Amino acid sequence: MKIHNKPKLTLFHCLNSFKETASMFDGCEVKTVKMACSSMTKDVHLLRAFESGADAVLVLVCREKACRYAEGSIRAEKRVNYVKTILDDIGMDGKRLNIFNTSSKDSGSINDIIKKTLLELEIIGPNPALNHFN
Amino acid sequence: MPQKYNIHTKAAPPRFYPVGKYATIEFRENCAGSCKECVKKKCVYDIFKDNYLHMSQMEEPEYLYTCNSCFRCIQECTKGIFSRVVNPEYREIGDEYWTPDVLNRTWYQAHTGSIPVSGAGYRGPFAGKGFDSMWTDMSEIVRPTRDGIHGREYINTCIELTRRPERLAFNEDGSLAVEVKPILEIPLPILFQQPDFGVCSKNVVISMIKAAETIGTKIFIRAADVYQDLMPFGKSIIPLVKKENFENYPLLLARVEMVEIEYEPGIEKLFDRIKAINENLVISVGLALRADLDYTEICVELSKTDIDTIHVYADANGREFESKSPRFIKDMLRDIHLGLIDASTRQQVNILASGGICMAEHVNKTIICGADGVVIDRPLLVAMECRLCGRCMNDLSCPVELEAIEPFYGSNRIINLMGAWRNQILEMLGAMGIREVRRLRGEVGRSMWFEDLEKESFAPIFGERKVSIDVG
Repeated sequence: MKIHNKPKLTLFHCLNSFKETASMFDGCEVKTVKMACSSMTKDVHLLRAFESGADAVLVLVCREKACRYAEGSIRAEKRVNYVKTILDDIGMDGKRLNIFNTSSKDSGSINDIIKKTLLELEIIGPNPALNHFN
Repeated sequence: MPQKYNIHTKAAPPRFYPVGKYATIEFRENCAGSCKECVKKKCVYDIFKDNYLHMSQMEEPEYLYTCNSCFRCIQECTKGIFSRVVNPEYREIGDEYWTPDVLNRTWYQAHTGSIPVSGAGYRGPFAGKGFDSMWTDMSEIVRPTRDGIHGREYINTCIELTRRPERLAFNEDGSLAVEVKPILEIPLPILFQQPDFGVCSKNVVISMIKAAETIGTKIFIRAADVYQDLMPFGKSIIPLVKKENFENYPLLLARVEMVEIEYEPGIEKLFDRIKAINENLVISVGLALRADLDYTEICVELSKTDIDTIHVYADANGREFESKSPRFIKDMLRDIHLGLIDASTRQQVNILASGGICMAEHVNKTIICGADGVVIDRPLLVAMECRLCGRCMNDLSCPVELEAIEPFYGSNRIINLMGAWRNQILEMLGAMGIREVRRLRGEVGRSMWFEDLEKESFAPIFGERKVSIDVG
């Protein structure tokens, strides 16, 4: 059952990994959360995004060895993997949460990531937690 | 002994997390774990402890940027895993004039009612555009003493809004031979104005009016926006009218003490008709400082008519309207002030200045340039947590839900801001050795101007500056 027409994405990203342009978000509602470093993305923030109605959450981090804070992207990846297991355990499907290494200069690959996420959402469906709340 | 004027402040914590500047990040993986020297436990501001609480309540990540940037955790961590970062959202709020620091410090003042202290002195550039090219001379080692200015050494911040007679004359029996009108005085050289943008819901407007009423100042509001619920605040309201509509508001004009009419050529012919509605009405004329107008000459001509106050408007950043290379308000005010002095009418009329006033120091600097008082609008919105994000102008929701602000809370925040500003005005006056804000008007001897100092020092070597520091 669909609750809303457009899929909702929440996008956590590091300052250097993503630059927002309006054309990227055709066909979906996106909330972006800009972080000084992706290592600031805590597990509760990711869960909070799902609680707030996101169908999928993306974390965009710098490419390996390009992180300004040395190991920030590694820390973010560990948290994402941890939250994925939680999502699997509670039956929400860990595929809703993904982490990607990107660069703000490479808007093409970020477009592809969003398109790929939207295609995946067509298969796994909307956020089941919202059905539960309704 | 008469009661001294004071603005009573009361802490009003923000409803939403203000856009904070600093955060600390753990950027390495080699935390020692249960380290006995863990700096997270030692944070004097309890930031880390609070963060755990916020995390347990699953709050949005705004709370992360509440660090006070004391560097203790960064310096004392045994593994060196911390680094300080600046919030990327912080860099994007405001604009080149209403900078993130201005907004952040205004929120702080509206919250606490205290003077903001950086703790590390001034770290900005030596000189800049606008008011930053002007310094106040605080070298006076005279009375009033610095420690007494908030108590026993009273510094008067009152200004008048009524016209003053040119001179007093007496009859043989000692009675006054000239008519002296009742004096309209406000205790602070700051008046409010309804902002021209932003969320101006009923609650927002009432918050501003209540604050104006509490501290004894007045607020300029478009007459069309003064609806019935605001009538009880009539004494605090200055309605803004135009030549073509002032006769539509007889009830309002009968109730208020002061009115402002927009400048048009020949406007002085209407003053009698306005006085016919309410003979005690104090009249102000609102004049936009446009490049195509000879505003100094207009002010001189207006000062010779029966008006009390001239209210000059610059844009929100203190610039001249409709100009490719706009002048800054300090230079325009200086011209108007000196023009009135040459016409020998400066003592009779008052000048209020709007535009570009975003800090307490700008009030004093504007008065030094020749104004009697200032009129502020945007700082009132910012005091109520506005982020000047401009979303409301595109019909988007306000991130701080300004439309639903509770008037008591909103007015408390504005009163706090005015309390903090007044304390800073007193600090500056005390340091300049001036006991009364009226004496500061046009007192350029208490200021130093970058253009003058540069000319004095470098013009003999390099020649004079060809483009004003304010341009570009």
